Amino acid sequence: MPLFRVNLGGEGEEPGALNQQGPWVLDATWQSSNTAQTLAGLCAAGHDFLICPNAALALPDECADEVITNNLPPFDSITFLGPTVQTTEVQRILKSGWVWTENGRIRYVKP
Amino acid sequence: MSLTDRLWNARASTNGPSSAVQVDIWIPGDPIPADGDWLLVGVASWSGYDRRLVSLIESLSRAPSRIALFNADVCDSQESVRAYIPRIGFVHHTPIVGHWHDGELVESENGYAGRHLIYRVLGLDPKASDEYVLQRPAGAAV
Repeated sequence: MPLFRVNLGGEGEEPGALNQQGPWVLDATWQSSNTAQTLAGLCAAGHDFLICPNAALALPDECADEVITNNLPPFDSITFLGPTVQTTEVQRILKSGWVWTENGRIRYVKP
Repeated sequence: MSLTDRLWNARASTNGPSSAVQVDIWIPGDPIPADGDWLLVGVASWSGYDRRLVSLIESLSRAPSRIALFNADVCDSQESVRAYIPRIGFVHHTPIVGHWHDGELVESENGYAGRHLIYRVLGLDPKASDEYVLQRPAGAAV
């Protein structure tokens, strides 16, 4: 069974993972910061997206084998886009014994 | 003190000794140059793209426009962004960029379009610059 990997926001999409972004990606003017691709273009390129607020991830408890965060604003804070990724939400969706990887390094292993 | 230290770790607003190009740190209330071109660029400390963009700007030996940076980490709302760049549209990404000419804001962009506005005003090759800032071939999908 393939691992279920979730990439929360950040710079660049993660191939093979479910890429979460906030509702702002539905804005007609939104484009990716690296290559200026539209959401439709990224989906056509094979990336899967979950669109939901950072503070309320639309995923069940203990569903993810890995949560990935790359180049994100500080967790549990607020930027011009609103609340950032919440530590409690990451911990909630992780399966017991699995990992939160931040910028390629293991940040947290769920007990 | 490096440019990144001055921007994200300190309040000093004078140029560091290592930059050939004058780069100021700007906060609301500071003067806007009344003549010539002026770029105001908001960058975030957590962004790998922004950190390399600052490094790129710092490496310039000359620039056809004056340049100032602001700390986008302090922006906690769309309204707070407009304290730096009035009338900018909804901001999705950094860098957050305003281009003033003779004291008038003439264009503003953010994210990819913001970076490419910087490249254009500074006369930088966009492909080579993005290869450096993104640290991967500019044509890559992700």
